[in-house]
Amino acid sequence: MIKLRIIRYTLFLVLGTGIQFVSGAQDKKGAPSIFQVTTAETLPGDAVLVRGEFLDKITGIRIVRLGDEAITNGLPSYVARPREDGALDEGGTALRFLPSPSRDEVSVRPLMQNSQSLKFIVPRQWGEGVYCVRLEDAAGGSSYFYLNTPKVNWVISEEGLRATAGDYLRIQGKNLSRKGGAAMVALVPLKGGNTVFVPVSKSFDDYSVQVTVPAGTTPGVYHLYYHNGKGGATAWSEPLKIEVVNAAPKKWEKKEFSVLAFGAKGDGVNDETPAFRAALDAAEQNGGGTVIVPKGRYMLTGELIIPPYTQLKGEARELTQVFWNPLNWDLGELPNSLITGSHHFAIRNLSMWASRAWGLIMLNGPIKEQGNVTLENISVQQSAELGGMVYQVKANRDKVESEINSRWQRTGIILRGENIIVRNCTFNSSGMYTFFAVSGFIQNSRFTRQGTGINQPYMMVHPKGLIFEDCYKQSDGYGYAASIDESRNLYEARNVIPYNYTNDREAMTLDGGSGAYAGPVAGVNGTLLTLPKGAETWQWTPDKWNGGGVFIIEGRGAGQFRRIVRHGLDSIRLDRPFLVDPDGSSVISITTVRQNLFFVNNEISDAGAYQFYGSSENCVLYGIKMKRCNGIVSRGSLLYHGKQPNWYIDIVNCELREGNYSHWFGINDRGHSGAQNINLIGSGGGGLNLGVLIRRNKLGEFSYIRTSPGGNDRAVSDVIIEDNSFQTAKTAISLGGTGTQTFGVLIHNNHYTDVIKNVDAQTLSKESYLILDDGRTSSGQ
Amino acid sequence: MFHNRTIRLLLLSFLCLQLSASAGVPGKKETWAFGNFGEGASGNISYVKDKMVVSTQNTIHCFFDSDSYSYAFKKQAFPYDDCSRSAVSVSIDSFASGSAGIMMRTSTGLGAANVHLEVTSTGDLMLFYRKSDGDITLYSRVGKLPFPVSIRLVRQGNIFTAFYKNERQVWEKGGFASAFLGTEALIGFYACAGAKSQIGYTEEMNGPMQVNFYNREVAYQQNYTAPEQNFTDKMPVKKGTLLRDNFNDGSLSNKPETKINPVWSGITFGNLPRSEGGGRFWRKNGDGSYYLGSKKWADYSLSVDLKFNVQKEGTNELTLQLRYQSIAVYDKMARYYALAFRGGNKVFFEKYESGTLVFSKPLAITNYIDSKQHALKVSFLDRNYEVFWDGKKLLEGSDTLNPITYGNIAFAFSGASVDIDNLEVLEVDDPVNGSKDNLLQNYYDTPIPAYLKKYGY
Repeated sequence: MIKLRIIRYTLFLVLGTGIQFVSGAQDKKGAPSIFQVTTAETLPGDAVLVRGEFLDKITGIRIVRLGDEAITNGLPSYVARPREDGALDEGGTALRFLPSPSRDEVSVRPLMQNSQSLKFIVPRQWGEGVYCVRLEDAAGGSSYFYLNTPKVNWVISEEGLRATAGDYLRIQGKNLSRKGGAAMVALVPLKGGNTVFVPVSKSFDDYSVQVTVPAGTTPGVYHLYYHNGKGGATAWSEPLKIEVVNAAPKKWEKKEFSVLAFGAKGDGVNDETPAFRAALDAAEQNGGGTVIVPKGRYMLTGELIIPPYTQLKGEARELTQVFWNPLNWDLGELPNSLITGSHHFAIRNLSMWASRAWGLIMLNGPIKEQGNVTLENISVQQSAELGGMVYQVKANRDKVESEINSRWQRTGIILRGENIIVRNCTFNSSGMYTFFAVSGFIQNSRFTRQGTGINQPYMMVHPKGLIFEDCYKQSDGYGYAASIDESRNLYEARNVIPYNYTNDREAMTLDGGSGAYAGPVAGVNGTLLTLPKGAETWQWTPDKWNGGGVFIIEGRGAGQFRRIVRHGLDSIRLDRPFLVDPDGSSVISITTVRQNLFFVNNEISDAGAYQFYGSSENCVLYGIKMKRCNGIVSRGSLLYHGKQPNWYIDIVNCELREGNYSHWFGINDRGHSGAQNINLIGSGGGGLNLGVLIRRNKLGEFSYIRTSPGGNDRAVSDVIIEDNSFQTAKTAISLGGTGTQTFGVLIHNNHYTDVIKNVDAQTLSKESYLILDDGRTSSGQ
Repeated sequence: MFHNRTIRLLLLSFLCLQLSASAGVPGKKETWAFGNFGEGASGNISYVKDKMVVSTQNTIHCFFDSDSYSYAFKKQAFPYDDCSRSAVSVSIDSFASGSAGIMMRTSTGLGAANVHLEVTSTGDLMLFYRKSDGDITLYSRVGKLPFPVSIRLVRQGNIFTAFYKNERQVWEKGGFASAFLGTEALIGFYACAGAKSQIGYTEEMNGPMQVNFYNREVAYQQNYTAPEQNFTDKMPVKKGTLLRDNFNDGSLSNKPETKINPVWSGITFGNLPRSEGGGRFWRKNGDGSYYLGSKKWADYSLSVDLKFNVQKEGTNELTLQLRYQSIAVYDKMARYYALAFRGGNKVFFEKYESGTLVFSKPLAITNYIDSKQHALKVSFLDRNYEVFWDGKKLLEGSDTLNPITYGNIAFAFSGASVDIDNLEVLEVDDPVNGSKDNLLQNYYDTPIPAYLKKYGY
């Protein structure tokens, strides 16, 4: 039973009375500024990373555990959290709480402190919960942040990226689910009215939960606050502005059109194309409707276009099959797609069979219109093989493969836009699965590739608020699109990805991305950034990179990025100013942004890497289970003409077992074969792999952790390797590079069994790492 | 343009150049190269009186992906495509296992384009062909013969026709195939020890085998008239012309290709004699299929002048294929309408799908092989068709069941002696949806809905 409380919203904030706000040093020139702090679940005894500028001026770290008092009688209240892509409390509200020093604070020792980072360890003796951290500087200023409070990134319902009154709402972020915590959502209307409190009804994991928005909730714009049950009244998340709507009526439900009434027979012999088209035309004339396909087998010879607000609905996928006569088109003359549509259409309860098809289901028409598509309870089989002796001849197979390969990226399924729902479907295709700029749900579906031997991947996903869960994906590798149009907000969980033996074998990759420029800046004035004269750019034409990111990867201000609003050849207008502007010491990179992509509890076996391969920020790999794979790669590097940073990645609670891995040849295959590992790569520049957390992973049977910097200083830096367990390994942790190419690594509280060498860092300088394992300290610090 | 008197003169003065003489004549020395090809293949050649004896082992067959064979061969120039004609004949005694026959191929390399007329140890006669180097091998079954067998493989242009002697010792045609062997090919006799499963995929080999070849004959003829020099086509071009060929340039393949100078697919040099009036026409003898036009031609009419010459041999058949659609991989899946001249002066309008006859409508033409010129016209609009013969409409109808609504044209000859002139394809205006309804195979009589236009059609 869902327990709701609705209280009167008030601007009067009772919390924080008597607590003095200290602005901290964020606004003072030359004073410490914080860009990022650890946002993963942090237990007692865990380390915390703080990234920023002028952090060498921090003179004290004080920390206190907050009480877990009930939150039932108070308005939401939150403490703003530093962020690497914006200012503190951007989009904040009057419900922000400003902490002040507490008598219960304890001091903790800074570790590996320098001007741009420091680390510290939460007192081991405390209980789990929310911790308030205060950083003191020499000038007497203080900065505060909370650890373990929720961070809500995005929400989604059946109506898209918004809440629906009377229906469930999925919430994605971090620190959402705590053992013993009664998680709660507060919806505070922007224009006044009742605040709606809703308990979390279902927790999938720490990154995704579900609530039911009360049916009577007034449509409008709200601030959503989230509490995970820990930390008391001020430990709510920062606000996320969302829209609450009523469920839209489904226009296709208003009238049915049976294809039988238009001449279809369902006998598997008659050409049903005219009948299907006539039924679809009738639905379109009606402003939408349901085209019913009763049980039977229907032969089609041409493509179908489903008009807006129309669904094509079979009796059941076991009973209704539509198939396309493959003999209707000459080689290279296939239709663009067997079924196309633009927006607001659905296909349900039928099976589709086709061979020699390029596109199976694709969107068409103006791109801005595309979206709102539902595929539910359908099975799709596409085999390029017609069978028979003709196909047993290799030359024939080659022709068929060449036909498909001739327009590879426009084969299979291509869906685009908002509110794409794929549910309870089975796909077996010779082509690609492409979900471009999608928000929505892909759930409980099976994606397999009908192999033709073509050395082509992929499932390509370009998320903009996508839940991809409980699916089976067996194919040639899966990519997450890198385009200037930002990829963000993905929750991909509990998927099974077995057997991947072709192409590069990547089970998941964030590939591509490219870049436009890497080098110094001529100047920055607020949001206006100027490039040096003669800057060497790539694919740099006015406004091409709008939406892309400007990352400070080295020098002053490193670890921040901003998005491009517009740009010319010499100047760039940023979405907001940097907290600390770059100067002559700084190197920037203009490349793509891929943020908040969470991969949770997926299982991979017998495949290549599961990898961030290029630009990725604030992404998570949690609970990933791998067997006999290449391992996890977290890579920031110079790729495709772009210096692509890999920043603030959490690799936590993963399990890598059966670590003996053979890739293409088993040997001499560019080092892919060997022992499964978690590999942090930074190459092509400094500052490209920054702030990765590797915590509480289980690595068995030769699986291990390593860093692989290129030739640049601090190519991999500020890494926490903590509380990981190794069972049987040659070297458990291998820090690569020389001097300070791998830099700022804290190796803390790891556990080794049957390991020949715990840590190998022989070629690094001693200031590059600190080992605090089981109370033993070994390094230059 | 051509005239009957001209034809008679041409026939009388027809230059038939016999460039090669018979081979295998007792006492006459032969020069055949010999080799064994394929992994582990071995064998040898010897002569016993007039018999060429080929022994071979570890040789399976010459099809699919695994050519292996023993081959007695020689080079033969073949410069003029359809105007060149090569005939190789041989008699073969029975043999214990495997296969033997006549083979023409581009080279001895494995996977080379080739055509071979093969008799197996069981007497099965088959025509195998690999159209181009590295392509697949296809075959058609010719028949089953008692030993000894006498077989002949005739090449004219890219067409290879199989013959065998029947029980009355009369040459009988046994089907034809097309392949592209170029202007110089190898011809000769081959033997394969075979596999225990002769057609299939079991590669377990038979033991050594030996085969006798005798009555060996190799003949070559050519008949070629050079194209006109500096030719300009001054004939007016009608509105809506999709294609026209009056043959007056004397070539089927000169470039650049235009709609009034089509380049015929499948033939380079044709026999284009001069007519009395100074123009040219195409005299097609023998077999072959030739294609023209665009696959996307939709509503069109085709008109052509045809003269089927009375001849002693050959069936003189022509199938004019219209709205022809083929699937390149799937050889026997063509769809088309046909004007079929066959069966001893019978003419039909027919429809084929997947190589299977769907319907056949006889036309009231009692005798087309009359050495007289006739005007044929066939017209298509959406699902509707009309056929005219010498200006008289012989047939009209509508094909409402899965109509074929677009496709190019083809001429398929068999045992022919046909004079062809004034080929013209004109677009037929469709006031409702133009050719889009043809390509959609829908909306023939009603405007295509606006949403379909917006979203893709």
